[in-house]
Amino acid sequence: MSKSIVNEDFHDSAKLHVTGRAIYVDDIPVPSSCLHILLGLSKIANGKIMEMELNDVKKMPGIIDVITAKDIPGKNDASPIFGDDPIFAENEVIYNGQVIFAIIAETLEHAKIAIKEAKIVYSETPPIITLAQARHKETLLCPPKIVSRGDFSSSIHHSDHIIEGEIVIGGQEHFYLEGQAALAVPKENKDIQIFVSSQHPSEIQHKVAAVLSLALNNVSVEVRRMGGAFGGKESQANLPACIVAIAAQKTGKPCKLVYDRDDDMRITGKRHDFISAYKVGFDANGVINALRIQHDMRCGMSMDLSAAIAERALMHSENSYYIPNVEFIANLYKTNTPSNTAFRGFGGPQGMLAMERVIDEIAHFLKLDPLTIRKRNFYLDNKNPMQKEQQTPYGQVVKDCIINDLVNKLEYSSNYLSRRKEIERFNKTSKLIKRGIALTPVKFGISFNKLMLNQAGALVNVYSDGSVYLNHGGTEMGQGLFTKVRKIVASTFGILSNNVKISATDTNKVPNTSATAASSGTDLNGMAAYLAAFQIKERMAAYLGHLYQCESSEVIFSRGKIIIFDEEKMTFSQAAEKCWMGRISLSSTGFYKTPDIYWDAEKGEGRPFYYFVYGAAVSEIVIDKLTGESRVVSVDILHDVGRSINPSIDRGQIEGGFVQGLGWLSMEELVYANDGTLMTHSPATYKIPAFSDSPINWNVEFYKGDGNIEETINRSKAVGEPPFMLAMSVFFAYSHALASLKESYPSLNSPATAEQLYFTQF
Amino acid sequence: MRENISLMLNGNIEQIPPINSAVTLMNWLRNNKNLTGTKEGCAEGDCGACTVVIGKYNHSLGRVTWSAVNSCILFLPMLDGCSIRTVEGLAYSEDELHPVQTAFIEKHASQCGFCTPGFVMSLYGAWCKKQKPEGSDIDNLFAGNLCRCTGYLPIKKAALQIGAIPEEERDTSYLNIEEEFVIQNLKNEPLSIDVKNEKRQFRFDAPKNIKMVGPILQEKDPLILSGATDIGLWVTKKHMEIGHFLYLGDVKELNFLNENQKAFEIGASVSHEVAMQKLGSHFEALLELWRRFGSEQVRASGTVVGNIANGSPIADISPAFIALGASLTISHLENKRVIPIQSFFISYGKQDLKKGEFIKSVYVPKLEKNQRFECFKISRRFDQDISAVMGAFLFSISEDGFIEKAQIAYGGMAAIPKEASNLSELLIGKELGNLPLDDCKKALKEDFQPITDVRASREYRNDVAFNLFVKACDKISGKPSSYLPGAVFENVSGNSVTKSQQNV
Repeated sequence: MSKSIVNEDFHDSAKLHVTGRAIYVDDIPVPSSCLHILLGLSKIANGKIMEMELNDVKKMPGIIDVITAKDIPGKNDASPIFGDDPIFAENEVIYNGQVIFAIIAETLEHAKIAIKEAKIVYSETPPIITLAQARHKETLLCPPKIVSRGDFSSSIHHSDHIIEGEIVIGGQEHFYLEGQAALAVPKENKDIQIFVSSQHPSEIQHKVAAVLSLALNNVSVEVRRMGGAFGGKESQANLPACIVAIAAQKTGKPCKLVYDRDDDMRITGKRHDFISAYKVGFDANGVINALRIQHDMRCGMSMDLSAAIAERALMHSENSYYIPNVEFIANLYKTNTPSNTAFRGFGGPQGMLAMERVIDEIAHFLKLDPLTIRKRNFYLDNKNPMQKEQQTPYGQVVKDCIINDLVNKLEYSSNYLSRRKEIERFNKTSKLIKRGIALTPVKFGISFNKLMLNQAGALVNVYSDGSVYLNHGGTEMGQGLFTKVRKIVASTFGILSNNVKISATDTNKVPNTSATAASSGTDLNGMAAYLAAFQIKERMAAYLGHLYQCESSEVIFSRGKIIIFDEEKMTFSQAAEKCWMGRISLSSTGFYKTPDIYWDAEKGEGRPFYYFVYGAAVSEIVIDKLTGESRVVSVDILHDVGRSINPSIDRGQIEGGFVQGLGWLSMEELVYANDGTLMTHSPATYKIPAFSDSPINWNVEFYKGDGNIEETINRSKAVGEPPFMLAMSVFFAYSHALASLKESYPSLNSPATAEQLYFTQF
Repeated sequence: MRENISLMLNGNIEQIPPINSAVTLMNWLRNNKNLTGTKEGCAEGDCGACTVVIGKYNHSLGRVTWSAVNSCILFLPMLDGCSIRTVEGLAYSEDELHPVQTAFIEKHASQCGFCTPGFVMSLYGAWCKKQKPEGSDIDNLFAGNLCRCTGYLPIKKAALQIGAIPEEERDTSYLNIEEEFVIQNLKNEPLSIDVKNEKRQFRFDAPKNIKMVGPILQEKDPLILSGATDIGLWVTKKHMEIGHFLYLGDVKELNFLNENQKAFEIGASVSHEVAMQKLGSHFEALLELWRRFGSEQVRASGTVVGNIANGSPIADISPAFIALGASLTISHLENKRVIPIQSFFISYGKQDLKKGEFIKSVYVPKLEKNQRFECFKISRRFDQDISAVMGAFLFSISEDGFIEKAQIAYGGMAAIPKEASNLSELLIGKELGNLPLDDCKKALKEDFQPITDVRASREYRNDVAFNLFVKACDKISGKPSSYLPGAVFENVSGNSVTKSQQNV
């Protein structure tokens, strides 16, 4: 049983994971000359640095140097786009936890003792911490973002009913188990090599080059794997990478920086919290005629990726519903808090939660099952090609809709209707325990909002012994990308996955890559790797066809063999050797760009998404009226992954995404003090779902369809982000339970902690 | 006296020369032994990525016990005489993995893999204890391990796969060598590290005999250390430099748990794990409180007396023991004094413990026939979380249902764990099934003026403290009551709960 495990589906690193041999940045063997870095963070959220005395720190034993903004040879900026994220605070500090200086020491223990000698005198200005404060001071980072269609203002007057309301949506800490980590190794001629836990090696390369005033070809960046990322290592890894680079260049020695948990949580940005105000007009059947949602977003102290996140929030604010007249607005507020950033769903979850809230409240108003309202507003399924086209508010034709069919199937398989009735009977007699159930849909657009990012490259080498080396621009954060792409390459050559060597993402091998984000990893890199492998295979087939006097299309690569006219001619290894001896190039790059997408930023119209992913979930919960404590009892999920490349990995993404979403909506609460101190800066106070919070009963099924209508690799669909939003079903199941405790609509805010649930009943 | 630490690591004996600071086991494994499979996820014992399994001699049980522990908050000298196994030491060979490891692979139970070594070691801990994980045991087994990727279901499947392995296929014979090592080391001289640096001094005294404790306390001013589940954080989180530890974990006379007809007496170095097993069978409500106390890892290291001694206002054991009328025996050289536990807590951060004194044991009276005890904790997350409010309720009830005596105490409601004296007094003579609830609410308001903090608001604490009291009264008087954690509520949710059990 325990002997060498080979299975195409197992995570490529599973054996390394379970034996403790998988190497993360902090595990890379380093020479004893390697220096360690500890960061000095701001203790105030807003103000000026009047005095900074670090000489006493330098004098402490084991301290090599202390660096500040003055030590940066190039640009003092770690931002992804806008140039507004200082690496070290210079003169002014803009959030509590901002990096001011870095201690370079022989060991971390030395640095921890020495840091107590740092003396900084600030002149404080009252900070802007909350969204309410930001709104009051009108601290907009940029003009509001808008997606609209029709005429909301005039059409709402034609509605039978109008509801107005507001939902507060909390943020979320990524809580990747591996903190941000970077290691810089200086090389000859000013070259520098960076090992970093990052979703975006090319951006690290750009930032490090800018910081050190080097050309991009001086900097190489390697990422083998991350211990979780979830968007939190898309732009946030820039800062530690820049700091180790500066330190390594200054000292001439390898330098390593690993954020401990508390520093990580204080420094890095999180999921944006929103206050979303809505006004909706609908008829007696609950069909929505006009909808306006205004999302106020806490962006933190800089832009980071907030603009793109706002756009995605707007483009998902209608979720799965066709609404004729809409006006979606996002206000991006600057606050003296960490700069909020990418996090699984990238604004989509907040936009969709607000929409589902609208549906839930309409249902309560009309005394109907929310599922009925949902169904009456869904986009039409695209079974009939003659059917009238429906467009999203941003002008994209929805041509792959399956939400009606998917929801009907889930409604049936989960026994939703009879359970709902049974629960309502139960709630009438049960005084202290209340139950709730809800079914919510997900429609999620796949592609980067920024057209430029929808490209990928790969490198495939076939060696003369038939072993294959694979490199591509995507990064592995646990999502199983490497395992999937390996399988794509292996099946192109008709060989087993374990004959294909996966290698660390490396800017020297595949250049100019995009972040592994937006669920796009497999779609982009899988296709690029396929194209690379395919070119080699075509060359091999042509040569072998020439040898055996047949068409290259008659040379079949299957099960590790070369088959011509139903006859096994040789193994793949032998074929590789033959081709090498025949002077055939066995190395190729592959390049892919997503076709058919475009975006007119001026008009706010176009086809930003290549396709949509659909799914739905039914969740049942139970609440204790006396305390507000709750449990998720049962979850049924039906999710569309297209034609899956690896069902086990896809299932893992669905389950893991759901529980992460459940944490966001139920127990994970970020608390900032009035002075901007993050009070929840460790797992003692910030609670992500633990083992027993996982639903007691799970039914996870894939939607059985014909695969992606677009020509994605294997007709599969992206799976990273969409399942996160399936957890909305838990939130609205709470709402259902609370509705049995009061007459008026229970305007539940997120996260629905025990305290939140308790007070919402009154 | 002996200055070299002696321990077994993955089956090999290690003699470690005196260390000069409070190095954690995790940092020693990672930095000195290059065993980087043990991960730092939080450095405070909350995430379990650093979990290793240790074998340690337990005097109260008279044998070597195996436990999964958080290596990030254990100081290396505490492991003197122990056997340690890390994730690197599980596989039999490069190709032949331990069944626990195989289960994780086969069930797709790792994604990013960073938490995986910790989960593997928690499951290995169960293997060493010859447990067969099933049902809600699995929730408890992994309560101290956080995973952000998987949603936990495949990990549950891996544990079930291990639970299903028949007895005859479970090889734990290799533990014998390690247990022999641990027992052999009991004969060693006590460990006493004393290293002087240029500016600093580091001492670590681990006496084996209680007679040695008093004099060290009297002469020096060491920090008393037992399980390090709190003090570990002083070093890893507050970066405190502690110059001198007095470790009680090796003192034979402090590792006892006595039971007679009237009471339990728990010695200073008895872990929560051991106490939970023994007291849990008598106090049903305490069993559930303990189940939610930290995690397997924390309960294996942390001590009951340590939880009391640190005086935290949110320690869970203290309110429970106040309600139960427990008392502390405090030693000072040859002398001792006995005080009621509530008088130990003077004010925030201040306890009734003078220089040279230490708590030797806590005495917990058993329930009398007419007594009923309940306790409930409210936290943001059910498992591995610190209480926002914790309420403990002891009632002496007459045959006709009147309260003769009430002892009610709360945690999280004041700067110290504290008795609700107004409420307790008000209840005397009242009929349990017919309480003047408004008066009770008022009395409780007089007892406590809680604060708003990161765990809960003042208003929520006030409301819920009272509601926990109602819950306790309902439960004791046999009315339908509610309690969500654990298996109890399975009855509540009817057929929909059982519907899809087969899917797990």
